[in-house]
Amino acid sequence: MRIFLLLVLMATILPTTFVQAQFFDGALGGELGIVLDPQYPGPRDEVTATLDDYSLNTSGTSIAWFIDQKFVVGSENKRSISFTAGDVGTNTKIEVRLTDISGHVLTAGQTVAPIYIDVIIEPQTYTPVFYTGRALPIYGSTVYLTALVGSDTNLTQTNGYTFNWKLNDQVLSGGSMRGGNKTSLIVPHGSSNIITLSVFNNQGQTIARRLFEIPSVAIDVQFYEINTLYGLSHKAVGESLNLLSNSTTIKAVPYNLDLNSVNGNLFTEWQINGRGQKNTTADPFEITLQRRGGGSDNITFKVRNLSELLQGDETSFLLNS
Amino acid sequence: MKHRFYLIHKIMRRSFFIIIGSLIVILLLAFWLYSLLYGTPQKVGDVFANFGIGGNNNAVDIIQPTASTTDEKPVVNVASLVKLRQLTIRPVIGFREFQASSTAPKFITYAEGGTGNIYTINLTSGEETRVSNVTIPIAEKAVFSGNGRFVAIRSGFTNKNEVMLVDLDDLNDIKSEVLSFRINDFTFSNTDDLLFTETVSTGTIGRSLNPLTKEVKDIFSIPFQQVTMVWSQDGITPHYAYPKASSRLLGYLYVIKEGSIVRVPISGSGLTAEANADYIFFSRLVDLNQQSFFYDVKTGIESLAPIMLTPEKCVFTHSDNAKLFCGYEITEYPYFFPDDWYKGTRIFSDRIWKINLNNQSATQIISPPITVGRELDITDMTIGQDDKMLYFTNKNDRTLWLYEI
Repeated sequence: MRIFLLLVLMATILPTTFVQAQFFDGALGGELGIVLDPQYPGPRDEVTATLDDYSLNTSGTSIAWFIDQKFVVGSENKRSISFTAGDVGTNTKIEVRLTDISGHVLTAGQTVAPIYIDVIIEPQTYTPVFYTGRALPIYGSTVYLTALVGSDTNLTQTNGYTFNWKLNDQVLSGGSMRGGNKTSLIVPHGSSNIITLSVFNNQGQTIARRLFEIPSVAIDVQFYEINTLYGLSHKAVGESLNLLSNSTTIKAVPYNLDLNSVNGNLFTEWQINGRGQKNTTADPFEITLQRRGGGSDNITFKVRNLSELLQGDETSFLLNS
Repeated sequence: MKHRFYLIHKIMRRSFFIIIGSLIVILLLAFWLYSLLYGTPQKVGDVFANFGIGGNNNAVDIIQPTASTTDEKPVVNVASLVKLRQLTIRPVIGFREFQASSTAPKFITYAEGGTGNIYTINLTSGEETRVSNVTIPIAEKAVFSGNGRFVAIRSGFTNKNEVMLVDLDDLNDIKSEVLSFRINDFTFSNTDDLLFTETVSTGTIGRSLNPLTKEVKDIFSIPFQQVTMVWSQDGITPHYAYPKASSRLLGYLYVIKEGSIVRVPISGSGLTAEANADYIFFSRLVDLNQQSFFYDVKTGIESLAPIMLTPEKCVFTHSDNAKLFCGYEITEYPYFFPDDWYKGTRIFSDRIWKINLNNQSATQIISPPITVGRELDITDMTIGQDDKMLYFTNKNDRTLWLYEI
């Protein structure tokens, strides 16, 4: 037992002694570095540069920071500074100088060359023609992703770069692809998914890394009145509608429905006060409602993608006649 | 002690496990059946948490349009001296001011929603004339050329979203043709060429079509499909493009130079933008609220705008690039804007404001609810050539309105 305890003691103490020896090796010893946050800044990003001197004995040393060879006022003996990255196409040189009590100077530098890496998210879900916004992804739907690398003059040819896409840390498209600035994915479970894009230059060096969120929403059914002459109203019905004439036609618009299911395996049903209605129109998303002699009727529309049961919605409004 | 072991042994019998297991299986089956028949997830993450207790199956966060408290009876009196007046009771899908000379009367020509019929109104006499009875089924957007000869109209019929080019040169013999492109967005340039974007497998191509010679030129390409265009109206300002806005997705602004796109240092969630030769104004989500900014193209300096600037509700003046007019309601523009406004689930009661970017001032110049007793959700704001008339449609009923500045 004693021998065992002795061995454990030696195994834990010896490495520590070795590390301590490193700290005291040489005038300053070890290596000096600068850590940037974000690691790969974009143009005009707020950047924090932090001194990385964990392997040094910096007791008694003075610290000074320089940006493009100019001393940063107020940076004396600060372990980090903040600055704004330049525009695309510019190079910003960050330098930190450590001077010990005997006058030895140790320097470390970093060059910030910001570049635009934009990721355009294009969900393949349904929105009506009058809707000028972008569709949103839903569980099980396809999303197209396009990465654009921007220089100061135009969008750079992506053949010069290698792209590595990850969805929630799972590599997409089988791995890195040269010129592979486009990819697609099927939205997995979860209200939010993270895309990580790493971009490498021809030398295999990482030039940028970006993280993006892909939201996952539900189908959002909205009701709109249809005028036989003037077409679809652009104002949604909301929670209630006052019937001003003897009848009205209502269209249910299923925002964010998977495009693959729009003309596919869909279940739709209209209900009036809980009773299913036989569809008398060619369009299952439309219903003509007649005046029913006063009072309110609860109009419900149900839609579900039978190929993907989690894609569905049921929405109601009150028809006051 | 022996008795206690006996009890434990009795409890741990096989039948006990079978009963418990059966109960679990029945519960799981019941849950699955309930989910299948009634359980509509509000969010994907809520699927196993929402049992719909309380009978509320409404899965949509509907923002109820504010009930109107004012008289919504339309009053059309074009020749009235009132500065703010309603020009049509018909829904309008596109319009343009025309004036032969500075002393000639002004006309507003518009296309009627649903039919595509074209009317013109003499703004001095108030006389309205139908100039085209060519019916374009489910017409939903129209753009007039500067000389008034051509109008491009999109039809929503049969979901093909065809765009028809109508030649109004001879009103007794109006010619029209369906354009053979999958057109997304379109406008007329200052030289009366039809500019449009077409979706292709690699993204979007911008083209120009000479309506007289029918010559088509490719003018730019964009490597994605869901594009909002900021077309140049003066031939000096470049075209801009950005991914269609959504408060849940990031957008980036690009300027089109020599056929390709170049990034502008403007980005953010829910990004929308409008531009002239000197300024770009844009809105984006900041701390879960939409805020507007303007960007000086020459200096590259970005500043906070005095009020919310929505591209569809704002127009730059022709005479001063730093001045613009906007529809704006003093209210919250929370997380779901502009998505909810595009859907028509959120409506506004706008006032008209004059904005000066030089001193970052915004002045309310008229309140429609007070002056005409109407609540107007302003969209498609445009300004006459002499900067004296503002024209816009009310999104609630798509009627055309005029404000004399």
